[in-house]
Amino acid sequence: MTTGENFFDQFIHSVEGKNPLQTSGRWARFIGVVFIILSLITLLTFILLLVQEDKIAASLMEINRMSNETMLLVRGSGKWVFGLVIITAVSVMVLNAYWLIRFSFSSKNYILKGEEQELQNSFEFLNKYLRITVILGLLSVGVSVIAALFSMTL
Amino acid sequence: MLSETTLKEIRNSIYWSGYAGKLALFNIGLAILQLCIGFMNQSYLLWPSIVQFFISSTISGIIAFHILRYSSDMKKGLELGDIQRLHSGFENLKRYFTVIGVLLILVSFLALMAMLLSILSFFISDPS
Repeated sequence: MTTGENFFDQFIHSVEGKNPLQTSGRWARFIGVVFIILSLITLLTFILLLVQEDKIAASLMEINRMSNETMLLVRGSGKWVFGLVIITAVSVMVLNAYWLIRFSFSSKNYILKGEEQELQNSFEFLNKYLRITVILGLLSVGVSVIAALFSMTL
Repeated sequence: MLSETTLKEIRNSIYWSGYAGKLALFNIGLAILQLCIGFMNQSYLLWPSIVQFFISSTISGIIAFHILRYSSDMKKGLELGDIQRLHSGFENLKRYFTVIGVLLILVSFLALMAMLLSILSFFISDPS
């Protein structure tokens, strides 16, 4: 352990260290709960879309003047690709929410009990959340690069 | 005294937060590039695109700034044993979550308003 890390040891046990960690935890819990609500709404919307498939297909055909072949494709593989995208998005949101809520509870427990194990857990969950943020960021970069290349060809 | 495992987790958070912040900044750079290409190809409407870009980039920039400050301040604080830097690092982590939380409140409120308005317009247009 370096001198700086010894200082961190003092800092994290002080009010100056605990207060921002507590507030971060509270906001993380709120964000996690909102993520869970959003994923439930997304899932519910998808189920309702599936239930109302016939009506939506008829409207799409009327509004966009889609041909029967296109509509068959949309209702066949298109529906499952869309479903896969929705399920992946919902899973990522739920996973993010889970880690944020765990981070929140671990940091709260650390502040209440002062157990180092809880502090370790809170940073472990924060890292998991950050890791998935980085993966999503990389995906976003990929999509942006493809979009930029695509717009260059226009 | 903190264990080596706890310190490792804290060092990992510094590493991943730095990476997340840099990626967010890189994404803003890419958005600028996309906007420029769009203007050159004249495929974008001028003002709506600028406003949309400005709002999304400002939000991403603020979030990236706080997570990068968390990473750099915690790193320096641990290296130099500077309590002030450690405090600033934790404050920036707090601000990072606060900004996301406030944004979520705002977005949820707007979504709720849009939903209420669409329900109201449905009843107004079809009173039966």
